[in-house]
Amino acid sequence: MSSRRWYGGTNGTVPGVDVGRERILRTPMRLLILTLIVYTAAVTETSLVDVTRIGHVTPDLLALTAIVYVLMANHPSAFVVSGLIALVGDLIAPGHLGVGMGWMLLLGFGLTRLKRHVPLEHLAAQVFAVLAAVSVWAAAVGLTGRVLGDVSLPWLTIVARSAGVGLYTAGVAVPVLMILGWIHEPHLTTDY
Amino acid sequence: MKGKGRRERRGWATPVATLVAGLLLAIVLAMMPVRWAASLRGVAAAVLRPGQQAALVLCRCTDRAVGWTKSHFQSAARLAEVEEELKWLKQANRHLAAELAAVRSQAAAAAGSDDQQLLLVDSVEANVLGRQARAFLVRRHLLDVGSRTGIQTDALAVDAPVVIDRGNDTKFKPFNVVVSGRRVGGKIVEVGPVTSVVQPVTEPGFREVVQIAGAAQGILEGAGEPLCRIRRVEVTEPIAVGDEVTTATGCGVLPTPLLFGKIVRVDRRVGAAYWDIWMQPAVAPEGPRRVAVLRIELNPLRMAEEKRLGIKD
Repeated sequence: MSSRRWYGGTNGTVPGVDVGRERILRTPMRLLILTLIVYTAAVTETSLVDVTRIGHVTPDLLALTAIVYVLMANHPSAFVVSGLIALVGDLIAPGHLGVGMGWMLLLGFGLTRLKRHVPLEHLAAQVFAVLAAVSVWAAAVGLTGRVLGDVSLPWLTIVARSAGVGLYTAGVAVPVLMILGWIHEPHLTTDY
Repeated sequence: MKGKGRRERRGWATPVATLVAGLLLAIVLAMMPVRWAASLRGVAAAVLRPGQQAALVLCRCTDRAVGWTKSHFQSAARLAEVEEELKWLKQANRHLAAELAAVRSQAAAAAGSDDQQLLLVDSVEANVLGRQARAFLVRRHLLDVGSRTGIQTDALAVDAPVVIDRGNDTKFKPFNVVVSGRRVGGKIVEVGPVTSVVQPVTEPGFREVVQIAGAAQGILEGAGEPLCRIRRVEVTEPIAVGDEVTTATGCGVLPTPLLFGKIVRVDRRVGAAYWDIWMQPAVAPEGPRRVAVLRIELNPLRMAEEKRLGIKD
């Protein structure tokens, strides 16, 4: 695994910098920030549902965090983190544990593989990826819940609401991805 | 190339193994007994509780801030509305002040002219008595209108078209005009101690000099019909249906004429020198329940002045 991948892009290499030491310094900080983000997302999903709800649809902030992490991190095992984030979602939601985690692991793995062949640096591509991924994940989790008896909604309603959740989450993702793009931009343009 | 492909496959071997392990874990979690899952969820809920409480506090603070901002904007809007209303009221106040000044000046002018007038007009309110009221008064020998003229008291009083509840007690005199608003309803023909008989304009025998459309003069006569007749108006006068018939200003003592009614029919016989005019009275035939009687009096100021001058002379 190349250390430059930890800088969030293939062009993130900074010549002359001790990359290994940077990674050691940054990894705990990143984990802490990620934990805080996941915690905030979980709190928001459990406390502010009435505020964020539009009709029957709310944004899935934990799924958004997981997908964005997979999109931003170039680690081949980033999907594991996304699966763990989905597990947090399973813990705060009713139904069987591990369903969201399993589907997120599969989805994250697929996205990690896809990134090697399809460039996802552009904002529009990232937003579309979030839209598609969250919609598919929500539909998969909902339909699995229907099979397991956790959900009693009709199949089509589950699919339609999943599309709504994907759309809403993609809308929320736009500013998040823009900010992350600005954060990564100096690394991409630094010329020593 | 083969070596590179092999390296890549080897590089993905670990993630695939991780994926498989993760999926197995997910399946195990899904098959976990509900009690265990509940205890795990309990731990998660306990961990999230402080954040949830903070979120609730934040929500309350936000609601309060939004409420304060909203009320602030509402207050500002209300203030603007009140300021606008105040501006309008000030303007209206100025208009009213101007009107009041005009009315005061008119009143002052009228008072000045009253001082100089020999005759003054005073009005006294009176109620029109119905048949039952009259019968009640007759039974108590109170309705003695007409006794002064030797006519059978009860018959006159009871059969009179209009009787009002004021008489000599308010110094009414025969021929005092009875009005309703500024419309003439008739005149007093008999005055008793506490009651008076009114002759409506439509009654036979009622005669009064009137003015038509503020120009031509004629004599209004009651004909015992709903319409009154106006005589002695020369055909050379321009008379039309709808013209107003008023008291002859020059003959009266009021500054403005009172209304008798409106002309509804104008005829002219062949070779006649006068119009045949029919007027609809302004006061309805059933009459108002409350009227005012105009009393003409000598101006006390003028009389005092005359006396003072007489003493000096």
